[in-house]
Amino acid sequence: MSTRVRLVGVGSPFGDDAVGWIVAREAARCLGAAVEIRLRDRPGLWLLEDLDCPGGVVLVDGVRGLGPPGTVAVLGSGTLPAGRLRLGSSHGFGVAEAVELARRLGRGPASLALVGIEIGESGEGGVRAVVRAAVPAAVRAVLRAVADVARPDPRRA
Amino acid sequence: MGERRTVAVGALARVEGEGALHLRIEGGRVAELRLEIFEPPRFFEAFLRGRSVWELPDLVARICGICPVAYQMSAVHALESIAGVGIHPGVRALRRLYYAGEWIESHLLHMVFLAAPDYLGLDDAFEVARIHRREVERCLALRALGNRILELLGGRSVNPVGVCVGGFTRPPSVEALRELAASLRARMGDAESLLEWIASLPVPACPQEVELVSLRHPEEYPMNEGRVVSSGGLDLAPAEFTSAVEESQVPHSTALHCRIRGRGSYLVGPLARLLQNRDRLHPRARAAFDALADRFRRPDPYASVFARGIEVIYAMEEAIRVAESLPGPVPVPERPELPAGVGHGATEAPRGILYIRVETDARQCVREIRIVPPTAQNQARIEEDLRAQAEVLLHLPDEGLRRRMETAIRNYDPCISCATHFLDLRVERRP
Repeated sequence: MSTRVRLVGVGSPFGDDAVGWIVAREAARCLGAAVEIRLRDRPGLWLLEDLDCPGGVVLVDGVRGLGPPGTVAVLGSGTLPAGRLRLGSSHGFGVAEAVELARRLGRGPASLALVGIEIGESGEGGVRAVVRAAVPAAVRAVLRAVADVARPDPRRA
Repeated sequence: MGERRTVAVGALARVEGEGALHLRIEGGRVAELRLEIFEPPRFFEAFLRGRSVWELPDLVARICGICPVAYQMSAVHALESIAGVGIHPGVRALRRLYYAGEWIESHLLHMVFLAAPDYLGLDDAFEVARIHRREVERCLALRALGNRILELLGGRSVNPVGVCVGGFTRPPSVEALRELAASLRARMGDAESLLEWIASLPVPACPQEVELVSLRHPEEYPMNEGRVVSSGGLDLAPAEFTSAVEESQVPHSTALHCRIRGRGSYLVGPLARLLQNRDRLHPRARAAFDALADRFRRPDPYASVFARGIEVIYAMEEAIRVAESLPGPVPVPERPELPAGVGHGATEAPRGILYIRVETDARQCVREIRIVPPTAQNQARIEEDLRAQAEVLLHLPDEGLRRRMETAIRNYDPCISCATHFLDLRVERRP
């Protein structure tokens, strides 16, 4: 099993949701062999396997609720909204649900971070300029998150 | 009991899709019961018209994230019946392996994540994971194997793309199959333990008179091939399916209701399949069926969860058989000539028969397509079951009645997303 940090881009080929893949690819290009990159399309329960990585995991995903489109934020596993989660159907099983289920099973990575890029109400077609403009900042956030995950701060353990 | 009341499930959880249940009680009787499907129509049948037939297996796989294999299999069988091509025996075996992967994934998702919370009195699978960690771990390990099967044959587990008319675009190597077989063998005990666990839970019983409809094959437990048979005497080729089954629209649902012409509602799915094909099970699945024989003496929708567990064991056995016995690599098929014509495919999706009729034109494009998914077929039957159960459960307070109605619906593992998606229950009580 890999002891490298696993970088998981979550998204799709279409619309602003592609930003998770774009940022993950850009960051992986900078980091080379230091990370193992995986790109996922609506991973649902399958994300549990991606979270099973002793080297730690950084997730990158287009999200809603951070603020204006293009806003970038880094969330630790403790700051995901676990209290409001309900496992409805598999169609509604997202990143936060997978992280919470992994936590309940005691099988999540020792260290985890989520880099979220606000996409707002995404439309069809390509990534909007306002979201694409956030890519450099999001890539920098991923690089910091990978470094933090690889060397977890003992005070946060 | 003389009151009027309305019980509403405004958003039914742990079903695939969006819908609601409205129950009006007047004078101690069920006056009205509607399973309302408000999932917007998805118009797949309309936008597939004019598309190349060669795109069909990839496009129909997008109808459902849980049972893409079923859509692909019914579609390719329909097209192959037009082309009149023979299928390589290795392809035939690999298609059973592919379907086994989907049954494993879909059935376990329902058993452990969607249904078990009802029988454990828990809110959701997070709670199941906290209290029954070993079972959830077993479920995840088995589902990972189902996933592996889909990746091997479909190229990827979500929206797989490896299916084509005549076979697979990248058939797996014999080495990969043998490796898979070893992994499946190592986990067979987990499938049996999970069924034992489910069988130990307080699952209600409610035997009913119901017409069971499934495929039946002369030699095998049905997956891809067979005649459409019923406990009421139907025995049809897939091409005759619509001669016996009629679809109709009801005002409260965007999904069509299916009935057997001149008779009424019917049940498809794992329970119907199992009760009509128990003599086709492999030995370990048969032993599991025998151990639960009391629950299968009369059709009981609540026994569906056990049927799923037995079918997981069967699917494991069948997957091992295929993965261990395939003698050599399977060729990639040549694209056949496809004349204008009409083809029919009926295969056993995890939730029951999935029928596709496709009409093609001389340009090898889809002229018309009709897709009858299992949940649409079960919808009328679900309403009748709920009405019967509600009649004897009216003494329960609204919350208790609501929970029991939700449990009864989930028991069918309805994929409302396929049938058109989630349930919202309203109970109205009036004097």
